[in-house]
Amino acid sequence: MNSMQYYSPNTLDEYQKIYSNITGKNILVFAGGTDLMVGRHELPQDAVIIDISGIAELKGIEKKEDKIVVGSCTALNELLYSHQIQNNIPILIKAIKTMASEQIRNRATIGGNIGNASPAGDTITPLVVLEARIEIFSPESNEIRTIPIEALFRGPCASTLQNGEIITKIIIPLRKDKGIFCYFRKIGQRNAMTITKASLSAIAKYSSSKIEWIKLASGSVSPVVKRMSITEEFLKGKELTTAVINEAKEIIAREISPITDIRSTKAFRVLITKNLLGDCLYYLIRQQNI
Amino acid sequence: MKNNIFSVVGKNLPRTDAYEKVTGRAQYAADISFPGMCFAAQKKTTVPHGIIKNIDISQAERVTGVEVIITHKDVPGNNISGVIKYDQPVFSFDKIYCPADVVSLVVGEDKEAVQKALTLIKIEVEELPVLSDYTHALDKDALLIHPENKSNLINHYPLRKGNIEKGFQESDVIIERTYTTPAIEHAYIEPECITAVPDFRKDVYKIYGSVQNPFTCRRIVAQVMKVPLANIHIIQNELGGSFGGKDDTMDMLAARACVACKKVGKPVRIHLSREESIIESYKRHPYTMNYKVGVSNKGILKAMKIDILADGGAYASMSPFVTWRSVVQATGPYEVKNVHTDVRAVYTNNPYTGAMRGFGSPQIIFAQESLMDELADELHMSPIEIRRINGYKQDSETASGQILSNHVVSLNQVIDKATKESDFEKKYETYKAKYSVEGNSHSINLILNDNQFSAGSNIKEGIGLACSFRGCSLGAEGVDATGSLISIQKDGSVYLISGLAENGQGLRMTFSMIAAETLGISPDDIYYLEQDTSRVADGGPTVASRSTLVGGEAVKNAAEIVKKRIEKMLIDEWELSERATFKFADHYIVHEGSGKKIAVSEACDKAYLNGVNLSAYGWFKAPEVDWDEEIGQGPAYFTYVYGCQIAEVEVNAASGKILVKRVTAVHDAGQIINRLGALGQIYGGVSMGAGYGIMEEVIVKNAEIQNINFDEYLIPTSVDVGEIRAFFVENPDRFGPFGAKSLGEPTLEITAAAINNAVANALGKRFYHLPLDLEQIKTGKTLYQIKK
Ligand SMILES: Cc1cc2nc3c(=O)[nH]c(=O)nc-3n(C[C@H](O)[C@H](O)[C@H](O)COP(=O)(O)OP(=O)(O)OC[C@H]3O[C@@H](n4cnc5c(N)ncnc54)[C@H](O)[C@@H]3O)c2cc1C
Repeated sequence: MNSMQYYSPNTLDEYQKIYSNITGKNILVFAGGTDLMVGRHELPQDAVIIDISGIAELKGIEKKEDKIVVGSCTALNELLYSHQIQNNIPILIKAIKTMASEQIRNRATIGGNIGNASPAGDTITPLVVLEARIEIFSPESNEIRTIPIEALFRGPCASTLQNGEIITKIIIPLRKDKGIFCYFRKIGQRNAMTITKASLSAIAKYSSSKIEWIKLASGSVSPVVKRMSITEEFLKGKELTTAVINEAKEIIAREISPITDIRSTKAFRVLITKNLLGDCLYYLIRQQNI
Repeated sequence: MKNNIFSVVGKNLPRTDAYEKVTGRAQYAADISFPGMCFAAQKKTTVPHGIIKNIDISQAERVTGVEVIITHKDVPGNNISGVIKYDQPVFSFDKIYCPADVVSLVVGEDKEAVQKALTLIKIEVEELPVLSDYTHALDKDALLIHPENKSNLINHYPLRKGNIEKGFQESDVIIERTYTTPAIEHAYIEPECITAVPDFRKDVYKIYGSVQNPFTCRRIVAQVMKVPLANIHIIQNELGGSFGGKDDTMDMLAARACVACKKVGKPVRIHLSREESIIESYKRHPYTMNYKVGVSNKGILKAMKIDILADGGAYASMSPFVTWRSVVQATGPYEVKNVHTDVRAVYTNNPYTGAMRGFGSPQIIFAQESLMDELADELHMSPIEIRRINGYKQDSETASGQILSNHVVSLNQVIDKATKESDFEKKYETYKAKYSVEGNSHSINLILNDNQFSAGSNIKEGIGLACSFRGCSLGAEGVDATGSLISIQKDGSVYLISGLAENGQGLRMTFSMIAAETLGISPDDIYYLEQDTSRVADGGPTVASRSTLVGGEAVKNAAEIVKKRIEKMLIDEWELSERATFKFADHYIVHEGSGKKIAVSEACDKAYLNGVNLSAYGWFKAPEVDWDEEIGQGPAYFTYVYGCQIAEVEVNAASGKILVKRVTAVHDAGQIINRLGALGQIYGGVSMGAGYGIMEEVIVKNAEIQNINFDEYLIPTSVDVGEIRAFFVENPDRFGPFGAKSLGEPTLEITAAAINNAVANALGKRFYHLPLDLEQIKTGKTLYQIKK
């Protein structure tokens, strides 16, 4: 009958071989499956599932001089409990802590969160402000290329990956400057197992009462997660007075393009994104005063 | 302590089924399989409302692996069914009324073949316009859902007491408010599963499944199959939750499976996916409630004019009973001389609505308890004071003219206990002083403009109180009698079964404790029989928090009949006087005069050898109740329970998120039988009530449900509801077993109202719509309202 096919390669090589033997079918890359299984009823019946979770090359967290390299099939909980991540990329820890539940985090992978390309993906906004790069393997050309994470997203739950391409690594640059402020907050209906209605990630450098630079990304309020560059530009070099913060809130409200859907309303998302930015900036001021 | 008079009743005992359930050994409907079993998948259309022009099954029939395809043509008896009114097609044939409708069943042993055939059934439907907004269902030009009725009205209950105009004239303060509540999903953990199994006897069917009310299910199936009631055996499997939700839906599924079973001559199973379950099962009624209340300067309620509209969806289902409870209890536990209530349920194309834990009370309690707090504010009184002035006392008269004299009216007792335990008054005043309600409670409140999530000042604390009275059991809804069967073996072990069914609430344990107390044995000595309609008399449905009260009394009655026979035997054996009294406790029977004693097991052995009948049928018929439908007057229920809950919340003014920090729940449920079970009812009920209060809503757009799984239909997790402190006030009832009454629904019905009052206390701003989701707190509109 029309049962689905399932493969589980152990190496990228095997992945490539399996891929080249399949023609004209719907290939579904399966990592932790925590997104895919939710939509299992809608999966095409003729789908060929390639489970990449057994590929050892896609796992692990490694520090290399000025960057941290994370394998795409690394589970969220591995990141959460990693000293490398805890010490070097606290914003990612803040984000992962708010995600799903213990059980889901044991299965869910960071590559899956990115590959799913949802504007509500909670590791995405931190990775965007961190200016992470994504390493991609193409089984057609048997080559590896690297792109900025932002270039991966095409629309809500649509990525620019093509023809069996998979994310192999996430490369997160480490900054040399000390005392970087970081902020992540998400707003959802529940205290656990909650999907983001709106969120904000920020990293910034603040010195002599001024914002030297700031990088912002809002979740769930645009078709794809992207930097809030107009707001960033506005804040650059500014002192954080109440007037500046209020103006920044208005600017970010214009920069996002939220919709009303099953999870929240446009009005709420606008209001909350403004509040998140206000919260972030006041928090920044408080941190400096300690 | 008064508990000392009992040896079993009132104790904390783990349930008989606890071990099996927590270790995964318990057998649910889908865990059981039968040789040659076929699977049946249901074909629905994508059109919410329309005329069926043609049903073409020819292509689907040809799929290898498919045994049969069932349509309305295969139904031997009634194809139109329903628990109260006959208005729901088992298989749709001329018209689609709502997205839950099923046109046909594909049956086969191969699940994949069945799924494939399902896609090949072609149904031609001429679309009709859709009526989804129930507030317009009674408009003059409204589209008619069941045109033969000439109106979309399902039922209308008026209640008239006193002189409403005079009441408002005597009032110093009059306020009028409109409240709305959304549809709610029961969210039982186990989706529906049913299997119809043929018998070697002609026209006999055994039906296994997650059935809440086996006797209702049997009646529906027998009508659809056109066979005598006795030919249909409903055998209930372990139920993975029901909350009122496995009644009509299961009856329909059982009937469809049985029709298919007859045709293929093999066992046929229907097992719904979560998505199908949410689309097909009925919901709690959305209500729109208009309350106009007049009160004197001294705080005495003078008049209440209440107009309630309930969305019944496409079928009447339990609407006539659900809304009847609303009309009885609409004023809340308050004495009002002049009352004018109208409750109407209407048809729409929406998912149909029916029984759900609470049954017409959570909605009105949300309205009336929010209103009482608002009145108190207007009059500069405390929420306790206004309730103290107007609340029911011994011999108070209800809106329907019933004098509350045959039970202890404990409203003040439960309020006192709850307010003391939670330090209500002090907290209420402290929080209120921070943000007192503004002159016009509809105005936008400034604190909600706060924008810092993390700063401590952003968390606003509030405390809120709500209370209720609730009629126990069915009341004037219907026949209220039930039976129980006990059979003691010669070694003293016992078979027990009741006409009411375990729904996961712990009934088997409660009944075992009642029988054990009566016979002086331990609940461990009792083997509770599998629920099977052929084993015990029809005892009506397991609903209305009636099991412990009505079913428990029947169990006690059965045990007492056998006990009397054992006593009589001992009187003969020991040559005692006819008036000898015995104590049955701790596995021994002691003659109170002489101190002579015998083990219960030994006495049973003796009885057996003497040919004494150790089996008995117990029965309980509820005392008479009455209702005059024209004016809504009469003694509606034979006894009542009272409860008070106090919610403490933290509202994050920046995000709008409500944390339910603590709920203090005080309930007078009469004598508690199993304390552990009763605590479980409170913990579960409060959590469900909190979900209703802050997040749950079935989002319906153009009659179609948008959130059909738990990724989008949100219920609280264990970290969303904080501490629950449970207390019992135990005023024994004169009718229930050992003085027990009701608890299941009271625990749930009050919570949302208490949370709403706590939020008002925290923010100085009132809300009128459930749920109090982030969107409503921050922008004034719930998700549900936006989607409409
Ligand atoms: C109960 C529950 C709660 C959740 N809570 C959250 C939450 O709070 N926040 C949040 O952001 N998400 C949440 N999720 C969603 C999900 O868990 C995450 O998105 C997770 O990181 C997905 O990883 P996965 O490995 O399970 O992905 P999968 O389901 O295996 O895959 C997801 C998608 O990514 C693609 N994909 C997977 N790996 C790769 C790869 N290496 N290269 C290219 N494409 C790939 C797949 O083809 C698929 O389209 C939740 C899910 C559930 C079930």
